[in-house]
Amino acid sequence: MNQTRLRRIGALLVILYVLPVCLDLASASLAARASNAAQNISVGNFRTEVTATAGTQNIGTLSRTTGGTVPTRFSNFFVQNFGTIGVAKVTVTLSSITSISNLDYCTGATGAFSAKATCGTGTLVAAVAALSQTITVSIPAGTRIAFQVISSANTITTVVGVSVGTAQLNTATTTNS
Amino acid sequence: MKQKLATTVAGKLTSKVGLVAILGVAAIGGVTLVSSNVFASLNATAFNTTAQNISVGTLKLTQLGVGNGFTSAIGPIQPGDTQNRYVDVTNGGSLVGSSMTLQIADNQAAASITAISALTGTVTYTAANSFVIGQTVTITGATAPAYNLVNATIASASGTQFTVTSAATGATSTATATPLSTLTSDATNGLQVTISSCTGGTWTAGTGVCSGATNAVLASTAASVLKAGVQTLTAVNLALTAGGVSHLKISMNLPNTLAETTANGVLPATTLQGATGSIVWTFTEAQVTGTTTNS
Repeated sequence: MNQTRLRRIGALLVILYVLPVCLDLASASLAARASNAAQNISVGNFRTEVTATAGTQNIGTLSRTTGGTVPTRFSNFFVQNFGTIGVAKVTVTLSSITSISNLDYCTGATGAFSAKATCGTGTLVAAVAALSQTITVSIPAGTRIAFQVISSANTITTVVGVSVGTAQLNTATTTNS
Repeated sequence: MKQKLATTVAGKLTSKVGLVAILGVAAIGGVTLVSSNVFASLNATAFNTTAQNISVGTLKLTQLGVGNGFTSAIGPIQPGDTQNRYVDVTNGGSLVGSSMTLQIADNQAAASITAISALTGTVTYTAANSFVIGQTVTITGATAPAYNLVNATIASASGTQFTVTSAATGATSTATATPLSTLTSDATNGLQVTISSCTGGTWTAGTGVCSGATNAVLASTAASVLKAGVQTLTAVNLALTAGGVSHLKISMNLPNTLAETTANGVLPATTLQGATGSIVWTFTEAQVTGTTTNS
């Protein structure tokens, strides 16, 4: 082993010894931390569905048949908010409005029709039917609104759908607590 | 003759012994002299008669909620909502801090499903979990493909099982339920955090009123960014002195940039609805740079 090689080994040993010391000196400092127990936060959802009866869950659209003779040519359904966020507007679609004159609803979470164009509970809001119409009606989370389609023909079948977009939710809020 | 010889030998021996003795004495004497020259010296010491005290300072940081703070759950929130929470961050040590940073962690975890069953439109997944009603999860790994649901909404949940509304059926198997965590991973539509301090006063949690001056500490920053790395807070608006208390308002906003439509109760394939987070907020304070003092 020649002298040069010995010098190199010696230099390497010095570096191996000094480097950790230098690094330790560079990182040695005081720091203090403060953390909380995990805080849970969740985003709500808005899921409105068309149901045949209040409170039931029916995934997807709902086929409604208005039948019979005057004055019973109507069919009722509900729009239920199964989500966790209240909605301010809903968009109701009808696959056909041929011979369908009205799409009415009764106000209030317990609103219900008792007869054609008559609310047993709540106040009637009558509107001309359209293939798609956005209705301004408050449906808090967990509640529903009663709707009614009225036809002029003895029998008409239409498929009802409902949708809610983020712009149709209740006004956003700022909470201090 | 014999006596003369004996006398002569005895004389020589005596001479040699004497010589050895002399040399020995000389050697010992020399060593003694040398040793005496090495160790024999005068010493003087000086020390302070009153002990000098020296101590290392402490750097302590604590956070305490004002009002609900970070202790109570938030939500369900909707796009555009802002939740303000208030915390006091105190430097309880004896040292001055130089800077403060914030980083968050999202601790929510996936649940391991051990069994799956279906009954009249409801699928029950057996799994230790911390899910809540309305939360969105994605199921993967089930042997029956129908049970692998994307963005399923939790209909009910206990610590040992949860259910979703689905017509899926199939054989039981193990699987994994992963909660939707876009709240802390979506930089655009996910949670945005803004922090301000109340200098020279305190916050009233219920009203959000600062009795002093309101100053910005952290501009609106996506939670995903805070999760990815530490963010430095504006030191000048913080109380970093020993014993200093920074009165902070943490504003959590879900931006209204999100545009989603839910049709007939079915969430969009890509959604933020039902997303959750389990957030740990960690404030860190660093010491000031060490100094050299002459005094």
